Amino acid sequence: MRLAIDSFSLVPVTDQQQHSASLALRHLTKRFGPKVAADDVSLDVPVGSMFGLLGPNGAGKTTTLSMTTGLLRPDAGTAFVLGANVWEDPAAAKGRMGVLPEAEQMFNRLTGRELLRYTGLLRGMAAEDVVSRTDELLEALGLTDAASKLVVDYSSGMTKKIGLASALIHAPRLLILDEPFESVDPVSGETIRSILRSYVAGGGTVVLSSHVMELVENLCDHVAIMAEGRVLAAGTLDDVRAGQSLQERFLGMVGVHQLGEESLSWLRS
Amino acid sequence: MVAQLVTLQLRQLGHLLTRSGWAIVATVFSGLGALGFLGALAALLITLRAFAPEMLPPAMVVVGAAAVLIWMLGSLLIQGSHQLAPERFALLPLRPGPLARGLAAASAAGIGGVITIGLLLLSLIAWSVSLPALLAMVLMLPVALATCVLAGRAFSALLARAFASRKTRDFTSILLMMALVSTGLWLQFGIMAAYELGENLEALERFINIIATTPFGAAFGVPLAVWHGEYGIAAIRLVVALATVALLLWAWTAQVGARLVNPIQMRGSGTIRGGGLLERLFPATPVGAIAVRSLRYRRRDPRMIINAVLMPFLPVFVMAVWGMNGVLPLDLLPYLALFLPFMLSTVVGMDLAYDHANFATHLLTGVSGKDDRAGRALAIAVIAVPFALVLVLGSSAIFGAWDHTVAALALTLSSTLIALGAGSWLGVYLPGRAPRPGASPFGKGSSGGIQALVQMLASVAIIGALLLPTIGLLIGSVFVPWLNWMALLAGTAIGVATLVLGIRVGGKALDKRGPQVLQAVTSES
Repeated sequence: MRLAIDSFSLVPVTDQQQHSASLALRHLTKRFGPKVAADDVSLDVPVGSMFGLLGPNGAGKTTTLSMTTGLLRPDAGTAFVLGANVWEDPAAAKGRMGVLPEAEQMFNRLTGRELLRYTGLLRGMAAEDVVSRTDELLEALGLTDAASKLVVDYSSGMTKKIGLASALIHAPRLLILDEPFESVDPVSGETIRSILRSYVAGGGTVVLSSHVMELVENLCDHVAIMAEGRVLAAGTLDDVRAGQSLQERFLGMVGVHQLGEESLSWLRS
Repeated sequence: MVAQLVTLQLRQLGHLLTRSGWAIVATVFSGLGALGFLGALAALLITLRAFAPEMLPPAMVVVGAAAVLIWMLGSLLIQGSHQLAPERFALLPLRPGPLARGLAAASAAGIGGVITIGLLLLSLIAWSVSLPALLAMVLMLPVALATCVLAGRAFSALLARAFASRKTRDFTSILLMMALVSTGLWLQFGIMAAYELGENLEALERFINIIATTPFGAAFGVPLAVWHGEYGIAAIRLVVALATVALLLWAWTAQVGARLVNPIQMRGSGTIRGGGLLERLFPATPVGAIAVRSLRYRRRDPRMIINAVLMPFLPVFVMAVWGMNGVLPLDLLPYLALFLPFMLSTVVGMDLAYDHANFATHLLTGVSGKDDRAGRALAIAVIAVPFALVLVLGSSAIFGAWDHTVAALALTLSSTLIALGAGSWLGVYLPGRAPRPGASPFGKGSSGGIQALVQMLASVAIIGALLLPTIGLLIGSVFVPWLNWMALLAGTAIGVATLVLGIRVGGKALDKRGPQVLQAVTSES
């Protein structure tokens, strides 16, 4: 069950805004057979915001982000990164954003240091900059000791951190992170959070997806809620939660799966 | 339990074979190929049965013992990706005994098992030399099958803990692969030894009788003894065969029991030292970085180590065998270097498939298609081009045959470069399919799928067509000798031009099709 779109939730978007916004999604649509994974998704992410994309599993978060980062060609619509159209001028758009790769998307038979060097050089950076930033990033993320180990042997938390480092190495103005805190231990999680906070304080923009409400509520200043491929609400954190907790708002919009009296009765025997 | 696990195995097999349109086409083709192979084998057996029946039973014992050995080595190779590893059942309330029997039965229902059953049934043609021997073999069929399957599973299970370390795993799979590929050489030695022994029939018979009494050949030794009318020996071999099955089953059950409560944890490979040399050899640009990464992967990723080892190994091997046998006149041997470009064409073309989801890194960083193509081609070229020279010049030097060196060099160099160019272009449209990173090099997708086959045929056609001018000049050189130097020049020029063009056109295509390529190489269907 889903509520109708609230009046505040969709900001009318114009062509001017896509230049002032750090990231502007316009009518992104993707079908997989009969299933509409993303249905006319439009969003604006203001410069300097920490933007949380929320939604249950299968809501279309990853599909939407893949179409934003150039991994998945949309059936319709496009995305603008600081004014550059991802699907018309991919080189410009990709140069301005950093993306946290999924574990399986990393060349994990390289060591951590080699992976960062590889990403930096692919980004067209000068070798000296790559080397100095690699050392700083490894240090900041607590990976110096593991720098000469193959990424395939990293724990999943370490893998997330080296992925974040490779997203940051070219100092992008926009960071796109799909589930950055998944399977990250609390200590590493705090490291990542503080890096993201100082990045945003320095004028960078972060878009992160998650389904952990508390985390998004604590960290983000803007949020959007997705379900079944659609954006149900978007805006500042306070606008979206409208006096309730984010969890309550989220469940109110996405709908709670109510258990009947009779279901699983045998468990109580 | 047995029925459930066999059903599970068959269902997995069914899904694997009919996942997608391409998979069904591939299944039909490999099915037809397998039927053709079995048919040819049946025809061979029937012919031998008609003309040299007394040869067949001893030969079957040797083949049977070899089958058990192949099961043992083969199950080591697919170890890492075993669909029905005991660990997968660790959370279910199962006892080791029934589970071990069920898993073994399920193995017999896998691809290897089905092939073995087919071969065992075919072997009945050979045993039809006498009715008692035939009956004995029919009775021994289940024992023979059980020996194969249990030997495979028990042997790989015993070594499984050693294989938890990535280094051991990678190293062994390379070693076994080389052993398998050079089977031809071993067979040749075997045949030569058998020939020597053949002079001495008694020794050969003694040798086969020994095999027939070992655990490897006992199941097949029983009908052999029956055929000879030696019922006492048959009884001894029967005891050996049954004891083998019992012992293997016990060992396998013990391993399953141990792994249900103490699953094997895969270990990593530790620290990588050095490695700065490659980075200094190539420029610090996207092209250089991709070349360095490609070369590192050829050393570190077992899926690629095998290709990297085989590529130089096979041409050398073929030359050595043909050179020793005198099949070809020695001065034609340098032409065998042409094996290299034909193997190369799919290696370049399938590079994207081997990247699997890792290709996303290239898309996310926005590296241009041209740089992507150029870096990968460069990594292979720095090895392949010098190696082509070594193959031609080396074989000329070793066999002292210099008459055809320039011509062979012209053809090999040209086709090596053309193969690189063709692969750079074709690979974007027909990336093929490879085992996912970390999976067994011999598991799902290791054959590259039907796309890889189409790609190879297309690449061979391109190489053939673009070699024509060079071939023309070489024919001319029969009359005007210096034309062979022209051929070398023209061939190299055509090769370089094709490579540059392949990188350009392939790069443009990759810029356009990048996301589609990513989907194609990561899709499981």
